[in-house]
Amino acid sequence: MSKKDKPVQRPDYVKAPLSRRQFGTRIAAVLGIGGGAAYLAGAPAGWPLSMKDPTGLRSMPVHTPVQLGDYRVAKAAGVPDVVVARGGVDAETRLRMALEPLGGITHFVQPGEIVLVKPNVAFDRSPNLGATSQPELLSVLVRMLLVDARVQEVRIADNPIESPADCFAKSGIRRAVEQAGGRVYLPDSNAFKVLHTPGAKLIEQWPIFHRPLTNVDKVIGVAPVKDHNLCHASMGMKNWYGLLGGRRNQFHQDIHEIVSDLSLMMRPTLTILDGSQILMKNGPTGGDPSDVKPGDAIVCGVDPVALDAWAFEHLLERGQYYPRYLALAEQKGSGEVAWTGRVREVRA
Amino acid sequence: MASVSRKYHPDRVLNPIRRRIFRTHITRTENFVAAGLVLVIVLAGAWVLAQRDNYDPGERDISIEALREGSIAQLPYEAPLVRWREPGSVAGAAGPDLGPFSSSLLAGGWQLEGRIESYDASNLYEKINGQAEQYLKFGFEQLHWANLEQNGVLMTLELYDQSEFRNALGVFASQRDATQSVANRGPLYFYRTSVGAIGLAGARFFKITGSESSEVVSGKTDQLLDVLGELPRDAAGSDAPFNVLADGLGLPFEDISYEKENALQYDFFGDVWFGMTGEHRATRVFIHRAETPDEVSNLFDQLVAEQEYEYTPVEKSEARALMKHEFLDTFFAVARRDDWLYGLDGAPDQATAVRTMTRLEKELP
Repeated sequence: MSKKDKPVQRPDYVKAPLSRRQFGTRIAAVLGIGGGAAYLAGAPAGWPLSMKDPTGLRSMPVHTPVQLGDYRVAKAAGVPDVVVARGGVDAETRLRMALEPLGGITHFVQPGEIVLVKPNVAFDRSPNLGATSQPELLSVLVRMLLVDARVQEVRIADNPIESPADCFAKSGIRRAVEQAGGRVYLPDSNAFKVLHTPGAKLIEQWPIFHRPLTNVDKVIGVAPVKDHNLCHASMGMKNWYGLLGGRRNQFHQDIHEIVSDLSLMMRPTLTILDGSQILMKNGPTGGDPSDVKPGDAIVCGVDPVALDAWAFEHLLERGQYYPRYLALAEQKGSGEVAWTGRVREVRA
Repeated sequence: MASVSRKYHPDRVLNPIRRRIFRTHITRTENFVAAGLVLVIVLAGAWVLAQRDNYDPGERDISIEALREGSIAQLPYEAPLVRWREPGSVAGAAGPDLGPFSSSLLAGGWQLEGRIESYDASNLYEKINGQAEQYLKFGFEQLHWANLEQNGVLMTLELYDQSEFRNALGVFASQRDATQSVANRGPLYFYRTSVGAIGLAGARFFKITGSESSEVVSGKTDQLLDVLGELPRDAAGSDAPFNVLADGLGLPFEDISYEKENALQYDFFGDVWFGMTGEHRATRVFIHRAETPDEVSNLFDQLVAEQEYEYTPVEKSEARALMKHEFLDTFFAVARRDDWLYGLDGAPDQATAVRTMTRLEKELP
């Protein structure tokens, strides 16, 4: 049978008449669907299932707050909370000396992990002014993580209020860490997420520079030791301020509370204080190299409160009139100010 | 054929025959394949959902190199590079906007990195977060920030307009390295650091900071000091208390300071000038000029009352008090005259205190 001769419809097809019941049912279905759609489209904003959005608020993206993990690693028995390494010919020697009593870098990070290193890159100042972390120590740490601990990736991130690119360039940190194999993350407007920090007084819900924290396994803070105009000292805990977004300058009204909140926000794997260029006065920006006291100490530890207390007393040489944020952080369970008996000092 | 026709329903409006499967049997293989495909789709969907937040954040960063590789150069017309000129300005006279600085800023082949940045009290924290409060406390009005570069050497010039000479001196005194002597060049008072200089020019406080300690930086610092010396003078360089301390008592500039608030650690006492005198600069004289004599009188009474907690009065009248510290044995004196309140602190003995007060009174206008 040719195509032309093929019947259009099956020969046994019989045109079916529509019964009244069926007609009524289908008309009702069509009207129901059409009416429902018309209601959804036209119902005023307050009505049930209304799709009207005259203010645009309903279509605004809803940011579900994220929560940071606890990046700490269990400490082996008999290991001190804080280790101070002094002397040594260079930063690498000192860092290795400081880490050894804590179990070495391999105790804290495992092969294949992603590690975030958070330096203080707050200002576009050259490193000799002591306002930022020292590039040499960061370079050593990045190499150590990549070579000794065989981690998958080392990220370096900070959110300076000034131009981040300028700060990373002028502080010498970008060049140092990229040459060592690290990857610098600069903030942009899409890199932030609202963070939920239970128990924090000022930053229970606050935007944080979150992109570099995505899928991170371990977090290490590397902070300079410096004077601070408002809270007397900027060290390990204050360093996490650099991850905050939003109008964070308002927190300077209650700076001790915010620094103690930061100790709740971030539970780092390890904190490293660089005592090689200590900004003794005119912090946090500095500007005069004579304000900077050269030192030969690196302090590593797992108790950020004890770490800061020890550095305040011995590196900034301020005695035991500790900043109030240390006591607040202790109240919030972030560590203990009393460092006596918990610090081991090693010398080259 | 008969089995197919049995499934017709002649009373249907829409006959489904065109969509009807004519086959009466679907093989087991086909069923397994279909189930397998459905399973793959479900697994793929589950994987997508599970991986939604598990991305490499670096993928969000598009490097300049990647953008360059992915872009196509299309230059139908290449315009010649012409220096920007403000509309309406004289042709050929345009250069980079140097803000308050003269063109000497860039002398010696130095280049401006970016542009001159300016900040006021509302956004100073954007530049010096954490330090801003120190400047704001002393009447800060504007900051001009210039980054200069030459052959990889960087220099920064910070110029803080503190609105009044006393405020600039207050900032300078609180930041100054006490071991450095202050040099004077025209309207400038400054001391050198190993990478630049810090000082004040009238109502402006400045910092010059180089990225290294070198002859290049030292030479440029000198030249930048000249640039700062050329700035238009403000009328705020002649505070009467400063003149009493500097010209009257002959105190060197580095021994004079100013405190805006919390002078002598009293929250009611502010706007006070200090000068170090005597052997080993142990005695500190202070001067405050109030709006009215009544204000001075109240302040005098309040100060004496507070000091009596730690000092024993030696002489005391309505306008003068001399007191001895209960433990340190040093002397504190305070007196008032018209709208002036003045005194001293830390005098080692009574004779020194009396002599210094007499000299101070003599120099007051």
